[in-house]
Amino acid sequence: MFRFFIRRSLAVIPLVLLVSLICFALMQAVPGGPAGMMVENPMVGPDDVARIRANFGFDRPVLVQYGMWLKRVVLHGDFGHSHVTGEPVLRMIWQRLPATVELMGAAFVLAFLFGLSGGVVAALKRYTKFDSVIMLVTLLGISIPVFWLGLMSMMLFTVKWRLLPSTGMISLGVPFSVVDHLRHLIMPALVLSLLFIASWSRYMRASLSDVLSRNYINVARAKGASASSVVFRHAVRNAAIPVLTVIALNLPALFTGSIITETIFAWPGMGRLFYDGLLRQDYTRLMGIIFIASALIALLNLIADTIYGVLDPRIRFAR
Amino acid sequence: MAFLTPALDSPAKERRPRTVSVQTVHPLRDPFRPVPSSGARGDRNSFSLALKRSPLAYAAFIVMSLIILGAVFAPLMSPYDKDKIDLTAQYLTPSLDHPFGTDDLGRDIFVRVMHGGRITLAVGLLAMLVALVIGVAVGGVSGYYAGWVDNVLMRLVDLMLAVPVFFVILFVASIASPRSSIVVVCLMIGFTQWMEVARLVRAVVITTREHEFVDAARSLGLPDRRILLRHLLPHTTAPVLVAVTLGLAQAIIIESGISFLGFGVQPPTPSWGAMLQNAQSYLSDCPWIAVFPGLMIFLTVVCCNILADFLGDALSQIRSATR
Repeated sequence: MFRFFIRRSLAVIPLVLLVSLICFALMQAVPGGPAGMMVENPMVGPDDVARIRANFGFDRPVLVQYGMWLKRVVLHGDFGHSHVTGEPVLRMIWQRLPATVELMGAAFVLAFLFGLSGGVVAALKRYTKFDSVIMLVTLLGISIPVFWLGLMSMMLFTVKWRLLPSTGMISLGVPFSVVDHLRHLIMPALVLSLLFIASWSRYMRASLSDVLSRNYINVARAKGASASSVVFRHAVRNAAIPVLTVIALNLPALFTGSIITETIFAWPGMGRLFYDGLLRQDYTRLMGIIFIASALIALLNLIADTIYGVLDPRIRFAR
Repeated sequence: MAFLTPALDSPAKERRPRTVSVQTVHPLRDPFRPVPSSGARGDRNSFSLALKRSPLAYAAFIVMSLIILGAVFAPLMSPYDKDKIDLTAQYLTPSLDHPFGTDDLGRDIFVRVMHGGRITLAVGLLAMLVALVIGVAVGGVSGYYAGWVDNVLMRLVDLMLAVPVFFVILFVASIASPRSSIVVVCLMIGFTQWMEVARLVRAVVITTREHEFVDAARSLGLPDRRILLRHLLPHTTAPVLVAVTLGLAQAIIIESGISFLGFGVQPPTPSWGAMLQNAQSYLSDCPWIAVFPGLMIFLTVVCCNILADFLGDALSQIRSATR
């Protein structure tokens, strides 16, 4: 098991390197290069630009620059400073990470609870009206674009019914309260989770229907196990294995979805930080976030693989 | 969204010894050619029959056709100019004159939605075409040659699957000049969405290449390229069609998301995502600006998903019926 884990984690490293190298190379292709913002500044003369380029090493070959950047990242955990605010990039990310983790966590809990229970109910009531309603709703759920869902729920819950606040994490000018914070959290979390509620319940339904038609379920019934015991102890446990790996594989998508959700709801997380960086052409910040995002996604994939390995011994021993 | 497609597990990697097995040939099947699974007349009839038997798919088919027709004939059907700014007609509520209302610059939203469909659908289709070409090439070569080529290409697929796609596309689109950003987005979607197609094609090619007609083709001295293109790849049409339909939905969602954030299609060009760019500011007073373009994205994606689901079922039934 341990060797499996090590081999998998080693495979992650080239990926993170490749993605960051490509982004780094693209950054150099921007008109004006990474110092583009300064070139456009009329207060900065051509001599100064040349000096800045030389100081930052922008005039050296891309691979050399990338090597220098990577060395700083690996040895000192230093992603450089933002061109726009002058802050260290790592500190900016570190400040925003908790908000993103909170939003993702809330969305994950919602998706896990509603998704799996919806799937179980649909599978138990297979081919009834109830099942077809759930299937239709989940079909709509996997098709709705996150940003439009965000706009529409804002239109209904904030503008029309005035039930929930639509932006930020807390109300301004009011002392902090947990209830107020949760009221801010609920709409972005629901919007972000709907896609996953829908898709996980479809997986769960398919997997459980498959398990319920197996012979060992008939055996369990025949030996007189109660209905709930058959469903929950025998069927759901086995049906959950493939669904759990799907869930783990979906975690990166949850992270990606948070960019759009955070942008719409002005949720001060990493997605919002990235979007601001795009608008202000803050390339050191973007590089830092993409590097960390691809490392995070690789890590999540690694967890998915490991879960698969733990749950299904065939995967572990096949290699 | 692999859960809508039938699961096609990649078969074992080792090759069977390549001997021409002596078997009785099915009397109705010409052993030298792949089973004609599409294009034959009987298939088309059973296809439309199946479509009529499934009301949901039928509805999706009709809605999708209407959306496509609206996009194709948009210039002929618009009573207003899509880009003409009319400050006397700002923020009009939906009415008979303007079925979807007008936007902040007095442009008719219905006309812009139809024109937006041209852009959004074209970008989606082009992106999927790119993905299709890359996916079929990688999957076909990988499945046919096996060995180290297969290993390298499949590692590439694993690598691509772990790329934070949305971050990277946004980053590249923000670097590109505003004039070319939509082309860049389109290509980037194609470059990042081909892996599903490649896996499906590889799986089908691996199972099909062991059939007698492939051995026959090889013994006739046909070059690999011809065997792959004419004898093996036609078998992949059914699963690839399903994957491409799902991929189209995905491409439309990605493109509109990026245009919504302001890095794809640039105003005043209408696309469904770009039309929603400023809609957030008008949510309280003119919700129709936000409702209709998004509704079109939603409808198109729903139709794609339903049709992919239906195609998957129908094609596997047709295939099992012809065997």
